[in-house]
Amino acid sequence: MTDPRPEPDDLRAALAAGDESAFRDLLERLGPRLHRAATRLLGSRTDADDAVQEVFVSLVRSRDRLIEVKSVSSYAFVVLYRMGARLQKARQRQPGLLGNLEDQAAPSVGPTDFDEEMLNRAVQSLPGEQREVVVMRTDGGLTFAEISELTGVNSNTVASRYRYALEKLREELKTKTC
Amino acid sequence: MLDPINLPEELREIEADLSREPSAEISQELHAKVMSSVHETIDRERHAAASRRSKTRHLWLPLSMVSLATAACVALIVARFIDQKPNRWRLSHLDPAPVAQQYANEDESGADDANEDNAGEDLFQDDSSLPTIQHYRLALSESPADWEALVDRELDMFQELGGDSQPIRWRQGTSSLQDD
Repeated sequence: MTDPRPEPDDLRAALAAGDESAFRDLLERLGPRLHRAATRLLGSRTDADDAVQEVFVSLVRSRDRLIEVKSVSSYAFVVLYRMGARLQKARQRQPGLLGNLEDQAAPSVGPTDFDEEMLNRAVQSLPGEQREVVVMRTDGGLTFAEISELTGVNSNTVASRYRYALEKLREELKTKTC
Repeated sequence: MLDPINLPEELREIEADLSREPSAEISQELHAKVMSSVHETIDRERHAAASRRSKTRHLWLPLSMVSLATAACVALIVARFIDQKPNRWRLSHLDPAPVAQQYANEDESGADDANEDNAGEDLFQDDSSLPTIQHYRLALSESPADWEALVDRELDMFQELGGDSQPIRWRQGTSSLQDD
């Protein structure tokens, strides 16, 4: 069944004009995916809530730019990534921008799908550099080239990290399901 | 796929699971919080823009008044400057030509007595700055008839004002007043 809500890119003009109902539509369209990506990146529901709120405030402030961006969705995830990176830097976590989340409290995410929750936890256990590539690609839909530009890392390195991340997730999920 | 990567089947399945649409919507509390922030931000920016426009509009009135006042002052100064220029050629300076021409061109039949009297007063008010007869000679050197007419008229006016009734030597070309 197709989603009746408008695609994010179809909302550009209304968003740029400051139409609040367009932002509501965008939140309903992108919100769940953004929130999941934020949870996977930051490892905390509270942080994920704050991150989503900040992303939308940032989108409002830069709404004039939304007319020109290639993809509104990708732009939102780029903003999320940068926000998450700033948050993590403020917490002085190493290595990578996101660092490891092993010492953080388990997120109180509330998905109804057991597999999804298991997946989220598995992603959170990845090293920061791999985690950010996985989230930006699977949740954000960014290409390796876009992730490369975002992180400042060579696109081949990005692709390698992605592959290693998926392999690690496979091992993690095999362990949990056995 | 955004950019193909050679992944084994197992990893593609995990990738697909990761990319699936989230099963849960965001909480109503988060929804309300986000929309409230959106509304506040838009509202704040619109007020700021309206305030900037209002300030600019309010600046126009005093600025335009200052410009008008400045333009008026400049115009007054220029007009004053232009107005002062003809004073250089008044009788108080030693250039008799315009005055001589004035008398020469005046229509005797239609001349206003009052104007003549006023003209005479202009002539005799300040003796020290009056041009000498030599100046008039120079001015009218090409028209002796006009010169004679001018001298006669001036003599008449001089006498009307109580001046010496004796003929004045300068008729004969001297530059000082002498009794006959």
